[in-house]
Order: sequence, then C-alpha cells, then structure tokens
Amino acid sequence: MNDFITLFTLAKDGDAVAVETILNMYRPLLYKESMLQGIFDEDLFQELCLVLLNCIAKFTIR
Amino acid sequence: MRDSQYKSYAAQNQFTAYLLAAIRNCKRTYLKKHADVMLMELPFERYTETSEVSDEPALFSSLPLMQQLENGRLLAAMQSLSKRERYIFLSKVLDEKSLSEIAHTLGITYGAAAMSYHRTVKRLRDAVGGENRE
Repeated sequence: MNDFITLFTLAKDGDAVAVETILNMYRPLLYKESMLQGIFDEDLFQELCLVLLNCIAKFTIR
Repeated sequence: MRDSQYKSYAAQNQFTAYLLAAIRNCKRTYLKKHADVMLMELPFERYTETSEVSDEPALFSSLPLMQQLENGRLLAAMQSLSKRERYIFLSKVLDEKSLSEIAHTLGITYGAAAMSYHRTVKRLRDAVGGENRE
C-alpha cells in the first residue's frame, strides 16, 4: 500500500486529480485552521489552500 | 508489504508536519496584516457610523470647545457628563492642572476629584469604544 507516496509523486508531477485528492484529504485541517475566533475566514482558507499547493511543490519525500 | 505501508505513513506524517509549519507561518503573517488593516479601517468606520449625531447643531452646548469635537460618540458622551465632571476632566486633560489644584478650586477633597476624573475617563473610553490604551 504505497498510496500516499504514489499519490504525492503524481501530484508533484502536476496531475490535477492527485492534487485534488490531496486537497480533499487535508480540507478538514484547512477548515479548522481557517476558523478565527469561531468564525470561518474565507480569505484565510484561500491562503491556506495556496500554502498546501506550495507545499506539494516544495516538499520532497526522502 | 508492511515496510512500504510504514514508509507511506511516515511520508504522510512528514508532509503533514511540513504543511502544519507552513500553515502556522502563513497564519501569523495573515493575522498581522489583518490587524494592521483593521487599525487603519476602524477609525473611519466609527466616524461614518456616528456622523449623524454631530449633524445636529441643536445638541451643541454653549461651550465653543464642544463644536470642535468631530467624533459624534465622544460628543454625546461629553454632553452626558455633569458640569463638574466635565470641568474636572477638561482642566486635567486640556489645561494640564493637577488633581489637587482642581480639588482646591472646587473645594472638594483630592480623593473625590481623582475618583470623579477616573470615572469620567472610563465612561468616555467606554462610550468611544476604545481599548485600554494610555
């Protein structure tokens, strides 16, 4: 079960479906982090989505 | 089989940690930016919210100083003060008299003047909606 590693390499190579799968995987975390004083901040959520995409591009599996 | 599964989990854990650190950094800069923007925006909002109060010239008291106040809420709060409270507050803040001097001219004790002054400051601050900033 090499799921995450293959998914991640696919996403890193620019596979849109893989990127979306990872985004869906981390969506609850991003939602949680976008809550500011109990209110959902849409702008922050967008920023965090961008952060996730950046992370996919920058992170390397060792 | 088990080894590859372990590797996959380890990789995912590492990625999650990396992502969490990035999220923390992003949030910090976002909040800082947001706070700066709020500082710039709030005074304007307060002013527009309350400008209708200062549109009523009939409310102005005989004091010419009152007409110089632009902030409607502050004006309303100043008018709600009693004459003595207003005198104590203004001579302390504007004329920079000491509390004992004010107490002496009014013929009251220092403690009474100080109490009245601090109560007035608190009331004005609450009315304007400011924070505890000196």
